[in-house]
Amino acid sequence: MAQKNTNKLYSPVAVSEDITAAKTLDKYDTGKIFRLKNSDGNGYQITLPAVTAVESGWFARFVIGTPPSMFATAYTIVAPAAVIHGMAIPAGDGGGSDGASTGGTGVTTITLNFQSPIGDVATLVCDGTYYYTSIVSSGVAASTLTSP
Amino acid sequence: MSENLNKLFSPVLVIEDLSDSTKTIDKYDTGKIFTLSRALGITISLPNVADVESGFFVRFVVKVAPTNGSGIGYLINVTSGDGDNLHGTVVVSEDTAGGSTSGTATDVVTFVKASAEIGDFVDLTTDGTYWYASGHASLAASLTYT
Repeated sequence: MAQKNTNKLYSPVAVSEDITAAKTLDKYDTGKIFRLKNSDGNGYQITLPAVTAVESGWFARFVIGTPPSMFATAYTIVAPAAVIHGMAIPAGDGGGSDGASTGGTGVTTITLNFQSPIGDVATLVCDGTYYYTSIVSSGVAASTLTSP
Repeated sequence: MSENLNKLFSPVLVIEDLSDSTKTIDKYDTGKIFTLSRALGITISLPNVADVESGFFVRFVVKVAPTNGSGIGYLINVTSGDGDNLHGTVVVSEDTAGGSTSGTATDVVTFVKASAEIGDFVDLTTDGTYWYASGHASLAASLTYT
């Protein structure tokens, strides 16, 4: 009962923000849920702050709101250095292919391509050294973790 | 308005780095993310479910891969005195099935040495009866419940 009342008092909700064009995030964007949308089929680049420019514990979530079109620009989430570690978990059978993984070597770029439907999500947490990511995607080829 | 509130409160998660060989978690650690930073491995003890508030939750993230051949990996024990009471799943990015307790409670979460990679993580929460585990890993062999 007390817990329920406390929840009513604080009513925790995440700040949700639509992105429709290239954007550079800053330390004040921590805790947000970003919906990635476009009106012309093209994705764009989201630039993360340097790990030293945010507080340890900075976190954000990116949800596909509008998938990019085939042969169009994908959504990319880019760190200033190769400090992203993590993996992509495909919801479906990989059919012999693995989901993306950094395999112990940091990368700069998360790419969410045209095979990412509405609802695919990438979560990032920063500890001041690395960004840790976990991507949950519908298809095994929907996302990549690379240093282009 | 929400943008201004976000600048005012700037919610961040509490992150604590673990680099000693052992760590005992207590009820005041709820909500934390623990990064695991000892190549030789760490033995972590969780409290009994009766000793924490229902809703207690923590995350453990591999920051240094437990690669050392003589090491133990990262062991998260929930055996403090209330028996086998951990249920959960592991989902993985490689094209193979992850793990599951499949309805049979277990008591140790292990990030396996020479297999677990930076970024692998497990979320643990309790409702006062069970520990519920949700793990994400690159390789199926990286994270086990036994």
